[in-house]
Amino acid sequence: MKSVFSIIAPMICASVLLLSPVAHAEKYMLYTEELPPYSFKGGDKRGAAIDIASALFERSGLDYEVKITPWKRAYVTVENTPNTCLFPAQRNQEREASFHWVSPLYISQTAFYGLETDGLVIRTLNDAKGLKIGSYNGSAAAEYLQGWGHDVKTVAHDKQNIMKLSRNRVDLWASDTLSAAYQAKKHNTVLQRKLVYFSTLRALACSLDIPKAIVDKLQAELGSMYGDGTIDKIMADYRK
Amino acid sequence: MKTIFPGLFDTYRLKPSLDQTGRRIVAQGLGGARKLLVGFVAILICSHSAFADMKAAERWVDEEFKDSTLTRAQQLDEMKWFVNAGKPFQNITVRVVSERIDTHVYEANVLTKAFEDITGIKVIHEITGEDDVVKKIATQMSLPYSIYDAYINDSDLIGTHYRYGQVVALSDFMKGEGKDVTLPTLDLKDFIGISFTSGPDGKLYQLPDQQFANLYWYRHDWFSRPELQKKFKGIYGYDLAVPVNWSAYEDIAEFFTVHVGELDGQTIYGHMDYGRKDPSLGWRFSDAWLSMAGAGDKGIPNGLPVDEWGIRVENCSPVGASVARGGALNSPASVYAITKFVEWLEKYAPPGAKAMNFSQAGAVPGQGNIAQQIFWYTAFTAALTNPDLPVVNADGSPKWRMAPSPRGPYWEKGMKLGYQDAGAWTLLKNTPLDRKKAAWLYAQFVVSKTVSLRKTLVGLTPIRDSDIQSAKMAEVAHKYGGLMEFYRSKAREIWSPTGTNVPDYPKLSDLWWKNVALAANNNLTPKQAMDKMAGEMDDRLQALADAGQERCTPKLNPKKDPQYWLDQPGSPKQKLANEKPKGKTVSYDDSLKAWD
Repeated sequence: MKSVFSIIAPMICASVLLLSPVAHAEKYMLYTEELPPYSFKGGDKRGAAIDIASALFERSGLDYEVKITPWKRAYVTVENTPNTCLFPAQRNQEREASFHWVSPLYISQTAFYGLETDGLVIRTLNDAKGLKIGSYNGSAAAEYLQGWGHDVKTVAHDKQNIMKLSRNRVDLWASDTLSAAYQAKKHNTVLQRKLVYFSTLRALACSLDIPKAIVDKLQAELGSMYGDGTIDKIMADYRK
Repeated sequence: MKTIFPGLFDTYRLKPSLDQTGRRIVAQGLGGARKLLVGFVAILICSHSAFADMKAAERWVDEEFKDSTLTRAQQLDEMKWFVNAGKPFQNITVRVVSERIDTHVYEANVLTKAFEDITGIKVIHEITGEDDVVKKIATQMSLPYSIYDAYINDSDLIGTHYRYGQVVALSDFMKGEGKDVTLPTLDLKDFIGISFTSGPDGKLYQLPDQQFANLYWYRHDWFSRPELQKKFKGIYGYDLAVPVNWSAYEDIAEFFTVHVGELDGQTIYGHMDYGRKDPSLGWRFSDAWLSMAGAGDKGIPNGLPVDEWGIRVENCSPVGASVARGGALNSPASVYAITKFVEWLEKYAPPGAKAMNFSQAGAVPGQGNIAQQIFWYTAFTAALTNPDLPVVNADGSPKWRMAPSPRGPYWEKGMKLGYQDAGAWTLLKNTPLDRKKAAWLYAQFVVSKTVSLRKTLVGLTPIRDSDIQSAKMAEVAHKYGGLMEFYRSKAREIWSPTGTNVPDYPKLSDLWWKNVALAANNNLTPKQAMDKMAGEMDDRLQALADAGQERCTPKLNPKKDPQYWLDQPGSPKQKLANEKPKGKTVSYDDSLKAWD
């Protein structure tokens, strides 16, 4: 089987985070994509999702390493490589059989954003039919909306959508609420949130070779992270 | 349409961790603009409230809810109650979730608007896969968070809800803290699915929102062709008609796939099913397949002491699923049921069916090359009456019919004979009271007599007897291939959802698809797969017992020689010497009479 190190481009290795105490014989490779503020490539903060996944493995006494790589590559790697996990994955029926699941790392929401001058009234998902909606390649939001017959225009990186919206190249931007807030602030742009139309359980999807006992341990630890307020604290830190 | 900006009313989340801070994202340095916006919001809120009144109610009643079992005056009285009851909740945005079927799409896109216009309460009705709905409600039950204010959750979880004590007992709520928001004209006795959503204590835990059944589906036009009737009788010795037993179903499947093969220039098949390893494969079995074979006990709605999951219950506690513990999951009848599923899929279904999931397979009968399907959800009725399909006549009438499901050789009178899905409003105790009340208002609105007949005509998932018996329904029933005949009959009681024997649906249901897939893909024989599954089900029941539930926790029987249990009356039943009695069929008209 191909080593994960040969799959990941050297440039990505620069941003790898080595964080864990060695408490277990196996080392788990955790893959995620760059998705501010859930995961940052470089910088002071690692991102909410990376903080949660890291805390989970540390508290479970499992050795791990986080790698940031394009989502599709990460997905295929975890499907085919032992001792690997992917996050934050949307758990759904089609994917259920392909991974072991630890869920939810956090709960996210997706909304339609527009400009305050656009005059658009979006009361239901159906009201966005016929409008050009910006999203990005491979995103669950794009997949969901296309499943309803919406006109979705995808780009390589979600951050491009805020510019497209500002220049009226799309009518709406379908985005995670936390990501949209981050991008709006970064680009000094005023957005109008039209409708928060979907909630998602974001999960850790692990390769099927990982023993059930480890998966159960992670799930139990995740539960305790909700119970003691750890998840709240991490998420609150990224809403500031 | 009213000119409001729903995004501005879009407050949500009760717990800090889920809060979406601020409705508007205003970049730094725009303080002046922010002040202006606050003023703008205030104006909009005022204008919004002014519209949420009887004027809006009249408009919706006159334009959308013309078909109702109530008179216009009664409808407006009902709406007046909603206008008043909704007043304390004007600043709440209710968020609910349901699976993706036509009925819920109508609710999400149309009824949320009607409700908001009339009451001033905004509702976001999310639509997702059924599997996701179950995961979300299970998550809310396990975490200290209110993700949704209400769920439309299949009543298959009634055993779960009853045992964990985390779901609001609606019987208590309606008399207690929810009394002021409980619709006086709700008329619970009018709901046909109340028995499915009540616990063993007799309390109502869920309120039905939509129901659909799983019935036999066939091409009535093909079955009526004299040359095919003659050919069938020549081979099998009885009439080509609606199969009463699995023997006849199998014969008809073989007839169309093997002996007819091609009709009107196209290849046709006598059976359709699916076998991909996917959670949807589980529904194919947890939705009563074993009961159709006759694996469980007599007793409505699910069979007692052994239900259609093969779980034995004693004094409300599950005691085992394996035959060794008194269950029937790996009994001869269950193994027979799985064997026939695998055999028919391989021999008589179109190539590729084995690799399909529920959604992919669901579209196939409408393409016009399937003669019959033993396991067909009536939720597809509206989709299969699309005039563009080859299974619909030029005048819009269907070429197909639905009829009672045929039964396997282990089935006996007094047992359930099929599955009925009852998606039902479910409130969780960890939702704050004001949000719970606002959500309960929306739930009642979408099942109210003002709305429900119209909703039934759109989604064809009836919940009220008054709608089923209405003059309007009689007028249109012929369009729906037997659906209304089913719902007018007593059969609607013996086609039932998963019942109270199943103590934790989310924690047990994956065993179905994971194990049946092994048989479907020939990794294990049906017997090996069901032995494995029964052992795993027992282990999971024990795990639930170890973790504890609020009431009726599993208490496993000690293992005994399986023969001990097979020798007892009822389920688990001894293997029959002849599992293929002579095929029996009846005419379509007679099949409908059989429902009564």
